[in-house]
Amino acid sequence: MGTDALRLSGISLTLGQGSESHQVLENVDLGVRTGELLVILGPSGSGKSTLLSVMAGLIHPDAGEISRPEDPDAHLPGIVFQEPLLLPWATVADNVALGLRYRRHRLRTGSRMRAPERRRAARALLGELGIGHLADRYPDQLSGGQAQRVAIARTIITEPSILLMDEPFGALDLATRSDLQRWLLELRAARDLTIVFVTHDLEEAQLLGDRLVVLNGPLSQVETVERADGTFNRTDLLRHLTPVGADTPSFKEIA
Amino acid sequence: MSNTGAFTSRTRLYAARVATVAMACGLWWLGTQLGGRNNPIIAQFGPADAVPAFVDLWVDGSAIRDAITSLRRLGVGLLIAVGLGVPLGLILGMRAGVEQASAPVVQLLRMISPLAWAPAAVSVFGIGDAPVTFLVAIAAIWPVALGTAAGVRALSPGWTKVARSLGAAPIEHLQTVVLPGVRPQILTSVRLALGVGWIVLVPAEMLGVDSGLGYAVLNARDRLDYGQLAATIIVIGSIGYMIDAIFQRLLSPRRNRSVR
Repeated sequence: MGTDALRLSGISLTLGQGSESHQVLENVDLGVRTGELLVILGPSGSGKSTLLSVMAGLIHPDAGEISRPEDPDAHLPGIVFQEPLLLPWATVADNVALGLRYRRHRLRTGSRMRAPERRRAARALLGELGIGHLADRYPDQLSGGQAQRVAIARTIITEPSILLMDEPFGALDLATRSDLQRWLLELRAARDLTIVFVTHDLEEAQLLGDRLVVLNGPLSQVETVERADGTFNRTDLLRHLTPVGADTPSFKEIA
Repeated sequence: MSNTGAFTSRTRLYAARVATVAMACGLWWLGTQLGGRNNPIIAQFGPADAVPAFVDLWVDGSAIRDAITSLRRLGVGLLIAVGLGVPLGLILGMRAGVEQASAPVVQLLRMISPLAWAPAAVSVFGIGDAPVTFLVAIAAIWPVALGTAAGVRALSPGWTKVARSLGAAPIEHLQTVVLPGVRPQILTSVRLALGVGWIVLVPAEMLGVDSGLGYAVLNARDRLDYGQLAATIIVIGSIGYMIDAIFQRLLSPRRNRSVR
């Protein structure tokens, strides 16, 4: 620990054009430590998904710098969305193997995997994650929880430096959600993952996070909260979650 | 639902279809009988003349020969339409700017009856297969291109987000997301194009060719053989119906969804 897997410095971003434009992120500084599970917590519209897309390289900020000190090569973060977004015409194994045929993986590993090889790798990973029995199914034959596990497998098969998760369990029912939360913690321990997890659910944030970043929209008022004595101070969290005046954009870090 | 139930409803469907065909033939006969009392041409147009004429066409092989010639022209024309229409549709569907900019030209061209091109086609391609194939292609390209474009626009933007986040090059995105995603729409639009192409083919074959079903229609008229004319019309309709049915069968789901 201690080193940063990813560092955002002075990130600003305005979305929309003309009179409809609004600043989503302003001068955000944030580090993701190697091996941690960092939770980004905030109400809807606070810019947490946008922040994640910036980390994933899907949105380019207007200003600021993203650095990955330990990753000089094309080893980029992987992202899991709220919807599984599996390709309906492909089997689970083929969906999971998808990233292995893409340019980024070829460039990083320097080798081109053939289709049977990719499929074998996908099956091996599915087995390791305890969902090997789903390999030959199609997405419409999966439950919501199963589909999201497959989506996570699809992301981690390319061994991303950081796993970014955008409210991945937000669309699931309560029982499935807690099942997947437990599964994610096991997965994280087994594969030594660095995870950035976005949620608006305080309970989920407290359960999963080593450290919380509280985004107090509409402009990013970023505050991070450390876990102390194995838990978070609940009143402290609630205080941070209380919206601050919208026209006082500022950046504050609590260590 | 038991198998017997499905069997019964299928049997009933076939019985109803046979009855409809018989009824249509009856009306055909009745119409030509009544209309033919004062008009000998209409009288020859009935099943009584058409059926022997069909047997003649079948026996001397000209029905098969003309049908094969027509189907070959249809096939080549469709191949050209798909070869040009699918890439055009992909571009129109993926680039909203291109679609908006090209809309006046595309919509104008689409509204021109392919037969309006016939004189131009003959003067450019001469006589023979080429102008006929060209007219089929120009009729079929629009359903293919516009159907493909609509299919591309209907793709979930989330799949593109996933491919990008996994590091897909643009060509890989096309191969793994766009093409398999629009495959059903492409096949549906090809089926549509098949019908349009077949309909355009017959009049196109009335220009400067001496073979094919369209030519057979003209030939029968010139020889005042109205029984043969009626037989040829029935052949044209039957073949169109058959190729459409075959293509529809090819379109039906390719994987077994019973494993649940």
